[in-house]
Amino acid sequence: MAFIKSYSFVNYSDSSYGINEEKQFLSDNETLENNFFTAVYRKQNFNYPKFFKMDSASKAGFLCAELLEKDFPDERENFGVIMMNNFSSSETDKNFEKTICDIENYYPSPSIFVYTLPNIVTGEVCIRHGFRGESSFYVFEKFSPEEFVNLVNDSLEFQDYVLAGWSEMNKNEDLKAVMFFLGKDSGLENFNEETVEKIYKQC
Amino acid sequence: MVEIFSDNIISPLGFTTKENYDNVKLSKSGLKVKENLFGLDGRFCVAEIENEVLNSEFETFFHKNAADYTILEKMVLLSVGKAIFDTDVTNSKTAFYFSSTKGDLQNNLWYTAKKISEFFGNKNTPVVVSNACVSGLCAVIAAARAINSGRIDTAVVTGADVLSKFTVSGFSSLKALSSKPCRPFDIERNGLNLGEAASTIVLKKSDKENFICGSIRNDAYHISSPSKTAEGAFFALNDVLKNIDKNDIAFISAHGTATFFNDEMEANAIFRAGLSDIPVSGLKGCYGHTLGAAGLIETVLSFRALNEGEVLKTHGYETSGVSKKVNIATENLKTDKKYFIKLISGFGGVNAAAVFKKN
Repeated sequence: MAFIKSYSFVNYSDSSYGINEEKQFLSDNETLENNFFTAVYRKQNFNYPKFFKMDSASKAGFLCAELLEKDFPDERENFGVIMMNNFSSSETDKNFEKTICDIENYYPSPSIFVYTLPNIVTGEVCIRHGFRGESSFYVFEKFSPEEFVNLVNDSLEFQDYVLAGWSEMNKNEDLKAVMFFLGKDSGLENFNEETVEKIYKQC
Repeated sequence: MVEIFSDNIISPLGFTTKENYDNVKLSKSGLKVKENLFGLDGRFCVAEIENEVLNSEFETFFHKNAADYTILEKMVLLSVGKAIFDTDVTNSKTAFYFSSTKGDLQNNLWYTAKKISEFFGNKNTPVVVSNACVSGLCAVIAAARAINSGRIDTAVVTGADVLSKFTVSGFSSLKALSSKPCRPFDIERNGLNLGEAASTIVLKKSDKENFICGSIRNDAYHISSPSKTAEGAFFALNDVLKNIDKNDIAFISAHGTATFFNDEMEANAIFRAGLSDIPVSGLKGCYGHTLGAAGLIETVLSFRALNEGEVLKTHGYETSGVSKKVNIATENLKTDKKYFIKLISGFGGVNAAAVFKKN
């Protein structure tokens, strides 16, 4: 039996983010100077300079994990990170393409190239929090509570805790990410298709 | 329990598992040095599938127009088509797993996966595993878990990546490429070669057990550099060793990319896990690094070797260039042991190990 111990989200389209049922919106002023993800980072007083070199997909996942950090146990050897999205690494792929499309102006950037793998976000989260459990990444056309719960439960069998995240890009290329902190002993709610779908819609 | 029911490899070394296996046993390599690859300056050593051969094989096999499909789609469809032969994959208890890092670079990974599963009349949502270079083995592990959970009874696990200006430019910018055939674990090693291939494994629920267990572990160290202490790979090996007796291991099929850091890390993991005496087989010298297909190809060939009582040598290796003792296979060996371990690592700090048992 798995439980949702807490959850978090960041949503670019309406500049909202939050933990559990607490949702806050950033004002236009706050997102004017920085992009939304950086504005959340500043507002929360996070301190992790590597954040600024990440691509948007990694920033979104990083922020979700950071928002949940206060709940994490000290023992992190069997703590896994399972994430999924609907866009793979398309945004960063386009950025990398720009550096190689013109042979007269060819300057492939290794720091961009690394982020053209969608699973890098799981690595960023593991590094930040010292998680040495499973890190996996899956891609689906759209959010499927059934696939999400099945794949995460399969992994949770081998872990003590899992951070399970879904992120998606809408038609305007805005990102939304939702992350669940899961454990086996107790939590806010059971981890199942209904609770996951309900929370996904609220965020 | 999970059985390896059938498999296939589509690569520069052949379009069936047997053809690939025979060629590897004869020490043939698909690696060739190319000038002006994708219009890029310099020399690149790559393993490339000949387009004309692929098109003609595709059209003969499916009676469909090759021009309607991307290169990656043709490779994967052919690989799946050959692997499933008379297996019914249209029923609701069969699911497709697609492992790839970049897909065909034109379409989203989920789109390609859906096109593949629908081509064969399967209606379930395909699971796309994109976990860097570890994807292929992770897809096998994910599929085996789904079978063991009872949700499905057959999994078609397929994976591929193609050579592209994108990946060649990227790995080149990381200074990870060797312009000569790669030398896994060797003192002279100076980088990896990229290759393209597709490979498929059909897993079935069965009384026969070929897939014993698998573990995926993160280094929590660096996104593009393996842990100096081999943390993730060592943990993954340690996890799978809990299920078997070390004396029954025929060989370890290593990742062995021939980059300085990967091979050093892997040797460290193998040493720390107390497996220094077990023969290590690496296949990148024959195929290059095929990214999302690597874990599958290497599992398929290793499984065949195990069943034939053989250990395939590590092509390109002569003199140890790693700091820890490892027993790299310098020639094809005989074995009567029953397990092999597949070990693999990738960007994002991810590592995986799995144990397979012979028939």
